[in-house]
Amino acid sequence: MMTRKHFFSAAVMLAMRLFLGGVFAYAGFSKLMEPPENFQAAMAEYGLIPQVLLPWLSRTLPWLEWLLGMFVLSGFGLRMSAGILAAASAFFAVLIVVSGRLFSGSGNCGCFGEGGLQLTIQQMFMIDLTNSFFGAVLARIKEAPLSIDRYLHKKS
Amino acid sequence: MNRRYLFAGAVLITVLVSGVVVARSFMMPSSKTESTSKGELTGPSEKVKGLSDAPIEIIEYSDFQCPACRTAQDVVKTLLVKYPDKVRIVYRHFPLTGHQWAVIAHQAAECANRQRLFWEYQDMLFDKQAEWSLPENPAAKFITYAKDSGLNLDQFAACLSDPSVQDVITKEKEMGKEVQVNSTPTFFVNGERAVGHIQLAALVEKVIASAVPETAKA
Repeated sequence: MMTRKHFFSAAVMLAMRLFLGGVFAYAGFSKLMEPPENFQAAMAEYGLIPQVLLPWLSRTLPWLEWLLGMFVLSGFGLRMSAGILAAASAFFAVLIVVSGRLFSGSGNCGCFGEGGLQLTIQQMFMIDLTNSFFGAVLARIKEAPLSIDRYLHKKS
Repeated sequence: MNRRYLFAGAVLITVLVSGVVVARSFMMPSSKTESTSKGELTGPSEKVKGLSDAPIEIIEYSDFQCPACRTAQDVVKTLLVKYPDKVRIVYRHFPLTGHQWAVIAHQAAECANRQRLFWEYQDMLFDKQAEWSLPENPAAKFITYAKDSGLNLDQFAACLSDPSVQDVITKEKEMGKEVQVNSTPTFFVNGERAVGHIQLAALVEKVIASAVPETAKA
């Protein structure tokens, strides 16, 4: 029988999964619904990624965000997916700090103002920090409620 | 990792990828991207610079209050100087909702266009962007710029209250939205998209290299 403490813990883990997976799945899906040149220009804004890699990254990263985000949401390969997303979030947060954009205004590669959810760089930074923490926690849990992993584990 | 797990993973990936492919077929009007190239002009309000038979047409969607659009002007001007008989530029309004004074700046520029002085006025708006993008209402500054650009001030003032000016801006912005423009500056070089000045410079050079014979480049 599930104790109150276990129930609370499971609910918190589920909320973390919904947030981490939801953020990445939404981010990936919305980028996949746009021309890749938009995301390419957004990445160029940081000025830290080699130009030659940008076209390739702008076409592959949204797919990874979408798939890994949905893996976390559905609880498939949860520990690995959450670990990768935690590392990615930490990397994005570092990128924001190193590029010096945390407290600066708009850059010179593009003004992104129409369509989708518009976040400030500070909000993005906070979400990245939160996601890296949630991802790190989820990468350590042994069993997640309402997950494909748990269902498959029970079956085998 | 057992077989059941691999099978579940394969099914999940297939469903997720298929979902995106189906959603894209509804949400990404790829065929409309091509239609922004030559021929689809908006009429007398069209703002064109360069030869009408230039082999390379650049359609620019930009916002006068966007710093990235100001930066891109240097690249656009360089291209027009470098390839005067090969490149022509078509300007389309795309004032972003987040820019407080963008709409009235575009109205002023469209009024300048009615006096055939659009390009002079847009240069003024971009050059002085930092001056009029402050929190105070820049309406008086726009009139000063009109005077400095050689516009007839009476006609300019009357034009600013003409609702058909806003109609042109709205129409051009809608044209941009139809081809999924949602950031500025976005360019279409013979129908191919480039976002920002870095992509524009690279794309024009690529198009020049492929479309214009070597002998014609010199």
